Amino acid sequence: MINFRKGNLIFYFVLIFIVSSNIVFNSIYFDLTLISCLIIYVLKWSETNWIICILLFVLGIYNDILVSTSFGYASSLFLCFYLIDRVGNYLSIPSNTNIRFTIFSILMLILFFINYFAIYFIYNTSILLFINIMPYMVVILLYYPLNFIISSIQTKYDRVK
Amino acid sequence: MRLSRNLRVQKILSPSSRVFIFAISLFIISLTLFLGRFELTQLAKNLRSHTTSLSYSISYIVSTPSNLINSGIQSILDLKEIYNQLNEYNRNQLTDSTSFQDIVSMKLKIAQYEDLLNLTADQEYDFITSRIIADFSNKFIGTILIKSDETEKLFIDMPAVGSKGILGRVSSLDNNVARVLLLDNINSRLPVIISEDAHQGIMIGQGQNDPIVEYVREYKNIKVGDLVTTSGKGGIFPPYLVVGQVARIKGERIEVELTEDVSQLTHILLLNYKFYQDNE
Repeated sequence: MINFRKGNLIFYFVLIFIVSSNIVFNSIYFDLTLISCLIIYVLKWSETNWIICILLFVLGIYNDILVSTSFGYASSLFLCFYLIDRVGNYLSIPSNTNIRFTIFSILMLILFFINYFAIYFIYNTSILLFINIMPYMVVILLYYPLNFIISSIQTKYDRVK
Repeated sequence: MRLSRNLRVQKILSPSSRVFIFAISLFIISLTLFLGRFELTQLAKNLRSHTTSLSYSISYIVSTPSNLINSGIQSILDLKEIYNQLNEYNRNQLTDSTSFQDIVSMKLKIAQYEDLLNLTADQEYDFITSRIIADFSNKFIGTILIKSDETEKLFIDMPAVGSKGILGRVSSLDNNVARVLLLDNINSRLPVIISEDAHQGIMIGQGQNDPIVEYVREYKNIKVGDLVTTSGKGGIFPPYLVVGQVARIKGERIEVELTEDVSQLTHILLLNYKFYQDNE
């Protein structure tokens, strides 16, 4: 499990690095905010750590300032994915990778449709479905490879500990 | 009974439950900020404008590795682009000399007509060159961050243009960094005129789609390929700046292809056009 105090800071830096890379990467296929959500969802968090919640909240605000999205957008996404992970843990739902993947995919699709309809009804603009769904699909496709990498790093860290 | 209640209270007050409740509270605060449109308040605007350069500085330091890779790739692409442009330049050299003569004669003619009609001369304005430091144009809330040595001369709503046409306007600024709201941003509204007959309309950003022009009365007279320029109404943009060309007409929906592609630019021009300040 990740513990802020024990020094496994690599994933915190990875998250800050990914959010910061928004100023460098500008691609229609990769949404770095969504990739950060995926990392937050895939990580095995420590159960009793207040700092994680504050860090995710601040990271979200930082992302919003940088990308110029509405305040609270990224932090609610980050905390939502963190909470879903926690709820599963709290209710002792078995952490089967396939079930977690299905939940993540459904959430991503719901998020896309919320975005799509919000823009359609608030701005009266219908954004291109194909181009805009691409970042969500890319994140869904990245689930298994990222899950494998992060799990192996965390398992290795646990073993060393 | 009391024992079971104590157990329940103990469970709620256990460290993991408290963290969980804290996370939910933060999530609710975030949602309230987002759904309550906190960004529209003056406090949020001040916060955003004062922290943009700080967040940019942090991002710049943290993302140094990706920045190096990106600038390497960009240098290779730039070299290729320069080579192509040189070839294009050699090909167009002859036609350019005749175009230049045409432009000079046209300018002289316009000056004569304006003199005959006793028209008021258009307002003169200079410009500031600014470097693009971050590009967020591939989003439906397309913006770019710019940096200038003369940041103190920048102001909100300053028009931003490239070499081929208009890009957008400055939406926020602080001591070092300013943000330009691009024309394809879904919040962008620009008064334009279409074709030589000067059909008036408002161009509205559509995210990654081409912007559309609405509120055009005689839309049936507009053809694909007609030039779209700024009308100068509203006093933010000077008149007759090239915006783009009519790309498609679907009923009353007029789609405009922008002439300027921000992803190809490294620097932009900020026009020192203050219509209201100079006319007060």
